[in-house]
Amino acid sequence: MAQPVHAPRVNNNDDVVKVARICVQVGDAVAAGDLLMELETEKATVDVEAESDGYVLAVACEQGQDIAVGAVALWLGATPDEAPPQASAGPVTMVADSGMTAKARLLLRRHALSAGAVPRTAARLTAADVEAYLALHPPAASSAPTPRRSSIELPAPAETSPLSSTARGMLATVTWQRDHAAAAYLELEYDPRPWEAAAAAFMRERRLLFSPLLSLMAHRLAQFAHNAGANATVLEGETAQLVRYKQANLGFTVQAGEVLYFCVVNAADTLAASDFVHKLFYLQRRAMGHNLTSAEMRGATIGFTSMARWGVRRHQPVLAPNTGVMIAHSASAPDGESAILGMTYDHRLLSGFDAVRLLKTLTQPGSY
Amino acid sequence: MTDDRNAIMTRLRRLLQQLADDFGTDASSITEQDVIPDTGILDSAGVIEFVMLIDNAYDLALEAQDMTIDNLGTLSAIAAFIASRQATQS
Repeated sequence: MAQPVHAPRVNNNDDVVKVARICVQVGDAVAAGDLLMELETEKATVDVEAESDGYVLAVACEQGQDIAVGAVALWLGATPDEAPPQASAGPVTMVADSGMTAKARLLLRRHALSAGAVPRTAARLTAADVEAYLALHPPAASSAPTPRRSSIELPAPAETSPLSSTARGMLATVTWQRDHAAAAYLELEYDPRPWEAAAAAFMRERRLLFSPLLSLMAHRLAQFAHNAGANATVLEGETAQLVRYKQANLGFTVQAGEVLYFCVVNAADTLAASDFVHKLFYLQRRAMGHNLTSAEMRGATIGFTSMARWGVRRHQPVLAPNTGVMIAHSASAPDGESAILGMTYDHRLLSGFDAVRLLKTLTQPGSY
Repeated sequence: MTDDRNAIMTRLRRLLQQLADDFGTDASSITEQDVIPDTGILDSAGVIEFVMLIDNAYDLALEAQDMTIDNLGTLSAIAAFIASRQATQS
């Protein structure tokens, strides 16, 4: 059955996104993860990728066009000869202020309705107008793809909307951890002052503008993950297989406004500390400008995250898909003499002893 | 067109205060000579964000080698760096 690809929400305040580039054509075969189109707002750019293998059945928007968040941007199908729903196969005609509310626009797209067909009670078409129309004219079961609905009965009336790209990423992460990993967590209390002194010296000697503390800790993880057995994963199947990665791709979380990014330094274990620090600064800058490409957010084999900037004293992170470990850095105690370093790890790869040994190594700075 | 130093400084202070507000600190008393990363007004990620905002505001196309304490460590240094880049571009 044809599956719609909806325009995701890029920023909380933008109900409309611009189609910056369409990367596929009708009939193209796509694989999960392939780039379909690039959308942008004044603040950010986001890549829309195929969530599964298939074929492009129809492109429902045009390059340069503004489309509503949640609108169907294109249709994918399992085979190239499937027919997309007729009402939505053509280009979507959208203007920034089209005489309707964003919710009304979303409902129209969801149900493949024309605005002209729906009587309006005021100058601007509202969601209530569309809902009133739908109550009198229930959509035929075959006129549009049936969205997957939860069988859970909601406790109160509610509205639904597509997940943001951040939420979809987090859903994929927690689902992988739940279904494919044996996640365990442990933490150590340590004295953060040696690390702070090492980072300050590193910063001073190289005239750096930023403290490299977190970068250096992440770099140390990349250096030791191999030997600890943490730069690996397990592939399930009839015969489960241990996969040892040949390079350590370090994923690092960056909160940019409302969006959480997981940028990846490839082959981090092969980089000198200084090169790693510069590479990670570069990716952080790109993340904060919402300019990361999908390639810069893909392929992590180990992960590092910090919530110190919000004063969080300990936190239990989620393992990113196909990674063996995620280190959790936190804020020091008020006296500055102690801090907690946490680690979520895949228990299929590491025993508790292995995990503690790696964590202890990370509480001590290297020589720079 | 180049901005005069006062205009640059006013804009820099506004950007810095905006980030300080987000971080829960106050940048109103910072002097032009204070080394921003040492003031504690912003954390490391905040300094990176500050640099990104400056880069975008003045179209500086900063490279890794530009991001040193000497070039961008104080408001005074940043203003001089921007003026220098604008002079080169014009």
